[in-house]
Amino acid sequence: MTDFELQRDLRAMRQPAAPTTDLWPAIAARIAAPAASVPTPRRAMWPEALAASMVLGLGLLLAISTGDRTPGPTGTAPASVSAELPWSLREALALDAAYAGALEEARHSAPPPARELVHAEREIDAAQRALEDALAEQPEAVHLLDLLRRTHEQRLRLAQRHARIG
Amino acid sequence: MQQKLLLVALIAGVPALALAATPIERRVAVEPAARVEVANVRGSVVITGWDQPQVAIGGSLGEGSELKVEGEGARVSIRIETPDGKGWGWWGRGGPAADTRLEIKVPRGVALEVDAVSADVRVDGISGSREVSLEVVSGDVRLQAEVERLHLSSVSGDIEMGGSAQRAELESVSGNLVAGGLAGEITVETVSGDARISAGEVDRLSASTVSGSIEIDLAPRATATIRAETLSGELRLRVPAELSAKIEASTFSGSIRSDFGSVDKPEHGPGESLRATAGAGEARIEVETFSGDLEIRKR
Repeated sequence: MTDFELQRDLRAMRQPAAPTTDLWPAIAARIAAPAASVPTPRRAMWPEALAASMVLGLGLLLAISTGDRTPGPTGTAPASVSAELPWSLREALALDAAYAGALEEARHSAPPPARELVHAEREIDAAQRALEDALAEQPEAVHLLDLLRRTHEQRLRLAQRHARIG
Repeated sequence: MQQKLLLVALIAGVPALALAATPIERRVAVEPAARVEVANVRGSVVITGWDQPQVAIGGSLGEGSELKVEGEGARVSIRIETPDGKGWGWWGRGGPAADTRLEIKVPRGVALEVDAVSADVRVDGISGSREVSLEVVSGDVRLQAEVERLHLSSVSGDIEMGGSAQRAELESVSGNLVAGGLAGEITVETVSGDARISAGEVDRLSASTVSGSIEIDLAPRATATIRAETLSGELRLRVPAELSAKIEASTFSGSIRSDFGSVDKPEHGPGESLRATAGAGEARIEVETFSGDLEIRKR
């Protein structure tokens, strides 16, 4: 087999970026439910927002650094804590956990990340923190879940590209 | 004195000699709609469409790099690699010490796939192509092409596209996207980069950013679904005055300005929303931000 043929076969093996457990269809259906479709701007009480933000931040940190492979709302936070959260925040935690598994898989065969990838990862980290802070402040802002999913997808595509081309 | 000057001149010339570039000149016969794949880590890639059934590869090869050309006819691969054929770690790790400039002429209708890291990519004169896919990391992309399917991806490099595409996917992390001539189905995603899109008739548009701004000029078809969302980025939509669409817009702490319908503001607290029907209300437009301002204007 020539290098050319090998490259063609490798390209043909490309899989669409998706976590092992695709939670998004169910989340999208819940977002589309009538009660959630027209958000009503409302300020969350700050202690609640702070607590939710801390749980989400912890979940995101754990998911990114350890690659927790357990999908589900309680994948990155104690069940007793996450059960108290609004559903949108629990979905955010579930997304963090589900994508962490796929990310870990993509990183498994990749060389250590170089400068450009580290910068991109930091940019995505900051974006995800901002999204989760906003979601903690306003759990009704369910469109942020879609943005969160897209940032997870983008991080995963970068990791897969890095693994593919070294 | 003359000997000293000669010595200085020789020493000064050593690095230039060590990194001397080698001219490239190769030709490969290909079919008019062949698939052409190009990979270069650093330097530049300039691809120009022409009317000959050949791929002509020119430019200059950086020191320590090797040009690998494989295939002919329906498919050709042009890659810059290490002499041992193992390739480099991309993303700049262990990459080449010198730039390679690739200047490639291709039949106008070829399908193109370009992978680059810090190399800038320029594509011009492509028309009737079924697919163009350009992926860069930090290099900038400038593309002028008439293509059926377009995929442009960057991490921090800026992307500028002109020409036309029937289906387009544009994405970046922090790079800015500017694209004109899009139509049909369009997906735009950035994390912090700005996106400015100019489109004709559109069936489906999905645009999102976290903190970048999005500006889109488009004409939704009767059954079109237009959806755009941001966290803190501004969102501006420009549509024809004779629009036929149901419009839903909402923001949690930003403001809405619209030429269609009237904006609802709650008596207490921040946030605004808008529901409006323009014309017969055939297409569907849904735009949402968290804190970014939102604007829907007639052309």
